[in-house]
Amino acid sequence: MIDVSSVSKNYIVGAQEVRALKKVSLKVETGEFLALAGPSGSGKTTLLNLIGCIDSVTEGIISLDGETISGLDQNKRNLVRQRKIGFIFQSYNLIPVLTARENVALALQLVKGIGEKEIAERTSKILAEVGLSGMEDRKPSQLSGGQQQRVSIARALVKEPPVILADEPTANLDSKTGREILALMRELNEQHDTTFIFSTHDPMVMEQARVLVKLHDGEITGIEKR
Amino acid sequence: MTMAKMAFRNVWRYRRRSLITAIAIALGVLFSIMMDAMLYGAERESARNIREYETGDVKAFAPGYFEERQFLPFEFFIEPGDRQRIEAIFAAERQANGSADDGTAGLSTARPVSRWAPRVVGGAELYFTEEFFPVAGSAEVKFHAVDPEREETVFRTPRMIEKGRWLEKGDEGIVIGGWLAEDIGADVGYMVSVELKGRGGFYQTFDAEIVGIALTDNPYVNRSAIYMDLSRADELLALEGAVTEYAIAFPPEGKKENHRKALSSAVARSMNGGSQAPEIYGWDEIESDAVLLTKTKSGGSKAYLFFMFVIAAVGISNTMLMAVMERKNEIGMLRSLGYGNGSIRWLFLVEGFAIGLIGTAAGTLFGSVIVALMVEYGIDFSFMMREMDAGYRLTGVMRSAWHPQGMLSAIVGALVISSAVAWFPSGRILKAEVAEILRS
Repeated sequence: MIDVSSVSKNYIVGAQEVRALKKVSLKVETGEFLALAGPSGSGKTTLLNLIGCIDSVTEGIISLDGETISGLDQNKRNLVRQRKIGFIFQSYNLIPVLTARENVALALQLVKGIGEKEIAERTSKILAEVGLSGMEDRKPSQLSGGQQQRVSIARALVKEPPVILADEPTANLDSKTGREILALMRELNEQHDTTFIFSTHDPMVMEQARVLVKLHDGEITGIEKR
Repeated sequence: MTMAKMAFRNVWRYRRRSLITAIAIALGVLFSIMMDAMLYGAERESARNIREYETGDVKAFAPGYFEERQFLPFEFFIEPGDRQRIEAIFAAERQANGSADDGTAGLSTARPVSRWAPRVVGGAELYFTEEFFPVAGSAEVKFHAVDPEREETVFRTPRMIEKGRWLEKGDEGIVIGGWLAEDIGADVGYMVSVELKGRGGFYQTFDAEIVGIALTDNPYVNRSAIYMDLSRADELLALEGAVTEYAIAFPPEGKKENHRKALSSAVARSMNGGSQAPEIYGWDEIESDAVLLTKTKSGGSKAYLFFMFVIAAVGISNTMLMAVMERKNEIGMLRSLGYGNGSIRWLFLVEGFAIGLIGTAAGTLFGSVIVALMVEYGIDFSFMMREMDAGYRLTGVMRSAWHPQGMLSAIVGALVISSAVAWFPSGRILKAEVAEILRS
């Protein structure tokens, strides 16, 4: 379970301090499929980043499975990301010189106690699950946008983290592909019981979420459970 | 493994940029190898020409001579009694356990000093008149009174006679350097007057026929040396059998330093508490100025090469900085997966190393080809060496010499620099939060 308690985040932009999040509190249950919705600048990406330990809080506490993850030093945050969090980015962020298989394997190579053979097996399995059988040896430039996002999802899922964070995962895709990706994420959420938190401003994506958290100007303005 | 694969593939992905950087490194390595081999070759050949035309491996001087040697003093002589004792050592054919009574014990090989030459060296003025020469005048020269036969055992000058002949015992003629002959318009058969100081301070002038012109590999000999027979000099300069020095060449076997130590102690023992023993000095001590000058030049050239490497390093650093800036998203993603700063820096370090490896391999290959050509053919600097004194005892063709240590330094230096400078560009970006990297 994720517990976000009175979290604030301020940025310094030029000479000005911008309050991206204002004392936000949120609880996310294990296996949840949750969307953070709101217009640009509402703080949804900032909240995702803070939960994902890729940014530091200005104020407040975030805990994951009872362990406080806010305020940790760089090395400990690295470990949290290695073991507990998978990321899906809007622009996929695949390594262009690696094949789909190698991009996915990259996430597993940091996990201790996994040999090359197991890495190869798990990589092939997850790529098959996201519908990329036969495309394992293609480089990102040889894949469509939707296929690249599938690789990105496979990379996030392959180490079986309890939480997957997706920042506008369908924003760069056409509506049909976006719908497919979302359906895939939902399917994987149900199969793996992995918590999915994703940011979006796409109404179609919001509809699919089981919990919709609405943000505006750095504050939660409403939570809808379906 | 994947990180290394990524690094090498990135080198290929940005191949034009990698190639330009690799060329900069290759040029640095190429010039470094080429210059080092050239300097090493010049240094070696210069040293050989000093030994083969000026000093032999060591020289024995009367005490006090060495400190004043640049003034060619005419007051420190090895007297006939000491000469006899020294020559007995030179002539000895003893094994390591040779008898101690004549001072030859400790000379570790049979015939340890098989090649030696007694000499009298000093400054002189050479006068020439219009009777033989186009114009009358004089030239400052260094005269060498030598034993014509023994001189040939140590020095190559007797074998480098371009015109005429070498000296004979009791010869009244002189042999002069080839460039000197050319400068004053001398030829074999021409008469000159030589003025020089005799023992005791008087001045002696005598007429002599030029019997030979020596064109050697040593510019100092060519430019200002004259040679005359020792027995004639003895008579003219009232030397009474004394000489100013012995030039000695050691056999090629064994370490020259060991030969020298053995000879020094044998000479000291041979004096039996009588007169002060002659002192033995190595060629590099006698010509320490030339050695120092060569080393300084070599050091200066290496500093120049170091700056070339710095320029190459700036090139690699710039390439890596561009790579870091272009791949911010990749860096952010890797860190979001949990990769630490060390791993990411390693990625760029391997990339820099790979570019360095390509550049170094190309530089070494082309550098070696050039060195091979330079070893075989060299560069003819005779147009420069004839007119100026560059410090090297070289007359014309400057040949390189293979110098594995220098090559290794260039290779290792280039690889270390290309890897090390790749370390820094990623530093700033790795200090930032992952979110900040991805946002930018």
